[in-house]
Amino acid sequence: MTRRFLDHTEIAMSVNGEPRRGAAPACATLLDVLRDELGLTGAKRACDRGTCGACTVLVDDRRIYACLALAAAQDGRRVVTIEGLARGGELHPIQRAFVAHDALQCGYCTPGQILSAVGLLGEGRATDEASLREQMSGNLCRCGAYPNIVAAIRDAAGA
Amino acid sequence: MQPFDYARATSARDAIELAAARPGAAFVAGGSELLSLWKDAACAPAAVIDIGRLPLDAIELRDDGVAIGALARMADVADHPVIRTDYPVIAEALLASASPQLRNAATVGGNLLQRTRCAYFRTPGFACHKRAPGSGCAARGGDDRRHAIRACQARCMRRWSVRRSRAAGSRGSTTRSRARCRAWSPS
Repeated sequence: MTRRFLDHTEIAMSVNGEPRRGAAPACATLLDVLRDELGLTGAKRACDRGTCGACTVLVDDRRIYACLALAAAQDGRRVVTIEGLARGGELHPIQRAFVAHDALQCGYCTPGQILSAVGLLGEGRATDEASLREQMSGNLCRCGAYPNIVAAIRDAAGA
Repeated sequence: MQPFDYARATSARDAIELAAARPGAAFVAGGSELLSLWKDAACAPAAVIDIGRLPLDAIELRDDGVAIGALARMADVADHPVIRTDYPVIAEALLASASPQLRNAATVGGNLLQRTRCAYFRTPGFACHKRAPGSGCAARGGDDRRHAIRACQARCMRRWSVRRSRAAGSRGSTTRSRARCRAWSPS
């Protein structure tokens, strides 16, 4: 029984549509693996406590904080980061809207904002501006680009 | 942060057996609470047992109410048709909690097992009887906004004193520290 406790685990995931496999320390987070093992640095480490949203990624189409997800627990799951959102050189509608509305300043929170917005559209809870703001409350922007972020998401959502 | 080992449970019985085989192990499902505590040095389990894939997430309407599985995620409970129509206050309370990303990961069981949200408990460097018995209580006389329970209550101190006196002697501080982690896990 004790042999089943591992200090390193083998993880196989789909990352941005490609199968990836490798070993990671048992205590590694999904964010650790994405950034340090796979070189996907779009997901940012900022608060590292599930508060700021800069590490937001999609796992099986749901937005979560990669800093608070054990990598080992994501075995077999489908992960999408900002690097995998565009298809064939075509930006995702949310990405296009962020460009069109100049919805960023320093850009550090932007990958998380965009992935969170993609998740939000799938959840269908944003019906007006107030609910859109509420449903984006898991992502902070220290530059205060909120008006344009909200405008971009509203535009892309057709709300 | 102290590294920990990992094992994934394949059934509820398996999870119980894994826990018995590895004293001091903590259960983990969504991970948002355990990893927060671990990063803040408020918990240092030697191992974690992943119960996140066990089929304990059902939401069932019964004659006497509704049964919500411990592994049901907050967002799924809030979205469930029975909860939305018959228990809207639960759906609304869930949607007013945490953030969308956390609600997609956090389970109802883990939510109920959360430790105090007191910032002093979760910030290494501050005195906190809960984290390090005997170190004091920084909330007492400190910033106590957003604290559900203000500072340190005499009743808590009495319980701590009993625990400390029981732990005195052969049991050192490491034992007490592990005992707290053990108390946190749903065993």
